[in-house]
Parts: sequence; structure tokens; C-alpha cells
Amino acid sequence: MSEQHLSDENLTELLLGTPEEAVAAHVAGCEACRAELARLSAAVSRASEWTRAAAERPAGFWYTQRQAILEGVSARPQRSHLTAWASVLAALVLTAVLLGRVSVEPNLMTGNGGNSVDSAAAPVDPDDELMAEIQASVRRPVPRAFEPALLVTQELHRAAEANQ
Amino acid sequence: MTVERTLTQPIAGVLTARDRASRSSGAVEARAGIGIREEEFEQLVREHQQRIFRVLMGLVRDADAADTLTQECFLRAYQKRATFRGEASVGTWLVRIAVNLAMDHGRSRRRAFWSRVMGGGTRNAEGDAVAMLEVAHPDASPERALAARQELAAVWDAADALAPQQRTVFLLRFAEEMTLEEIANATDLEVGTVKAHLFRAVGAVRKRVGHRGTEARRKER
Repeated sequence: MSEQHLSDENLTELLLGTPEEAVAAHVAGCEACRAELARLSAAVSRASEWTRAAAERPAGFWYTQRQAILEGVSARPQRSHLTAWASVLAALVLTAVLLGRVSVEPNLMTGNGGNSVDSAAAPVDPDDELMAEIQASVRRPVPRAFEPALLVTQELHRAAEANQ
Repeated sequence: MTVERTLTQPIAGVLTARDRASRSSGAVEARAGIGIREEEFEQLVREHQQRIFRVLMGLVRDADAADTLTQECFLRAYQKRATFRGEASVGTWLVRIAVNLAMDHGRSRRRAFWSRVMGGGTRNAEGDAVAMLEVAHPDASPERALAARQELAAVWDAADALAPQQRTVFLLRFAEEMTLEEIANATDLEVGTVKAHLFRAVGAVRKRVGHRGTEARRKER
């Protein structure tokens, strides 16, 4: 250490008051480093003094500043009250809308709109439903699964007639 | 300054007892950990406004901006008072808000201000502060006063050239005399990172001060 002068890290530790022993020993024996440390220390102290001097204000300044802060604080809760009221209003509207949907929902499910009351009053028998479906299927010219094949066959016939 | 003093205690030491009192635990501090009650807020402002103004003055170096930002700092603190949980002291928590505001404020205004002060133009609050420094050392010769001005300019020049976080760490340590842990809390950095920022900042100031010293000696010849 004694051969080497102070690095930025060494100087910082010295300024912080936490130098290693070797650094302290070097400064004690090295005039150039002592001078550099003193110069740097004075400059940094100057900045501290300046900040303190620049921040010195008469009592009236602090009072005025405090009043401005407290006025600002009392103004902000008013805004937050408004926000709170707006939130309550929005919540009420949302609740009303949701309740409205819930009451309309059963009608939508049945797909009958205004006839929902009648449908609910007269539920359909599943056996009747099955019979109606079988009758509809029997009335078809071909079973539902063969309908595409029927369409293709019809198209082929039409094409053959057109060629003749 | 003697070597003994330098080796045994940190530098600066310009904060007064009142300054320190505004940093230590006050009435509001005692309840740390459960938020800040509304009725305590005025007391909080009373205890910390001068320190916050001083921190902001160091960071933005513009009295009007520091005043506005101080007010904004407390308004934000009021809004967030329920979230204060006492991990750091109230003072450090407020400094943290102030630092964030100063960062947002940007550096362009700082540069504008400093060029105004160093240009020797109109007298204003900051110019008065330079004069006050000279009043604080009435025995200083004109040469010493000029040297002091140059030292100060070198520090601010170096600080301006630093990255915002480095500048903030530097000022909080050497102008505000906060501990490394307090700075870490206020800036949301690790203590090791705070130290690394300080190394760089001190290196930059060292270079500037050395450069100015060389220039001054050359002029004297």
C-alpha cells in the first residue's frame, strides 16, 4: 500500500470514515495523498455547506409551505369522496344490470321469449318427443345418414341427362 | 483539516443539532409499523419539511422546484400513509419519495440553474446561498473565497456529469450525511451498490477537483 497512492475506493472509505488500516497508514506517511484527501474532503464539505445554506429559510416560508401542503391534503380527500360516490353509483348500476340479466336469462334459455311462462307451465314429455322424432325420420325419403349420398346421386343423374 | 480528523470521523459534519433532530425519531416515528394516522400528518410535515426541502434543494438546486417538490412529496406521503409499514424510518421513507420526485424532475433544469449561478448573473436564492457560504467564512481572503467557489463548482460539475442514481447517492451521503443503509433504503438499492456508486462519484469529483486545482495553479503562475 505504501508504494501505491490512494485509489477512488480508498479515498471513498476515508471520506466515509471507514478506511482499512493499510490505507490509514499510507495516508499518515504520504504527503501527496494527504493533500489530495484534504482537497477532496474540503470540496465535498463545501457542497454540504452550500446545500444547508441554500435550504435555510425564514420561519414564514416553512409556515406557508406547511399550509400549502395541508390545503392540498384537504383538497384531495374531497376528490376521493367524489370518486367513492362514483364507485358506489357504478356498483349500483352494475348490480341492476346483472339482476336484469338474471331475470331475463330463463327466457333466453328456452328460446321462446315471451312464451316462456307457458313452456314452463307445460313441460314436454320425453316419450312424446322421441315418438315425434321417429315419425319425422320415417317420413324422410332416405335415412338422414344417406342424404349426402342421395344429393350426389341426384347431381350425377342431372349431369347425365344434360349430356344426352 | 487535520489528518487525524479525517481518519477518525466522516467528513462534512455541517448538519446542525436541529438538522439531526429532524432525522431522528419523532412523535410520528414512534408508531412506525401501522401506517400514519391522519391527525399525525401535520406533525409529520412539521418534523420533516426542512430536511425534505434540503434534500430536494441538493438534488434539483432550484429553490422554487424544491418547494413545489417538497409539497408534492408530502401530498404523496399523505396518499400513501396507510401503506407505510415501518421497514425504514419515516424520514427515510419521505426521502425515498423525494428522491423519486427529483429523478422525475429531470436534469435539464439543474443544468439551467447552475449555468445561471456560475454565470454570475442575477442574484437569487441560490446565488444568496453562495454568498452565505462566504459569510460563513468571513475571514477568508478573496482568493480563498474564489477557491471555495471553484471547489463548489467542481463538485456540482462532477455531480451533474454522474448518472442520476450516482448523484443521488453521493448527495445523500455527503450533503445529507445519511448512512449507507439509509441510502440503500431510500433508493431501493443494495448497500454494495450504494458503495459502488459512491466510489464512482468520488472518483469523478476527485478528477474535477484535481483538474480545477491544476488550472488554478497554472493561472497563479
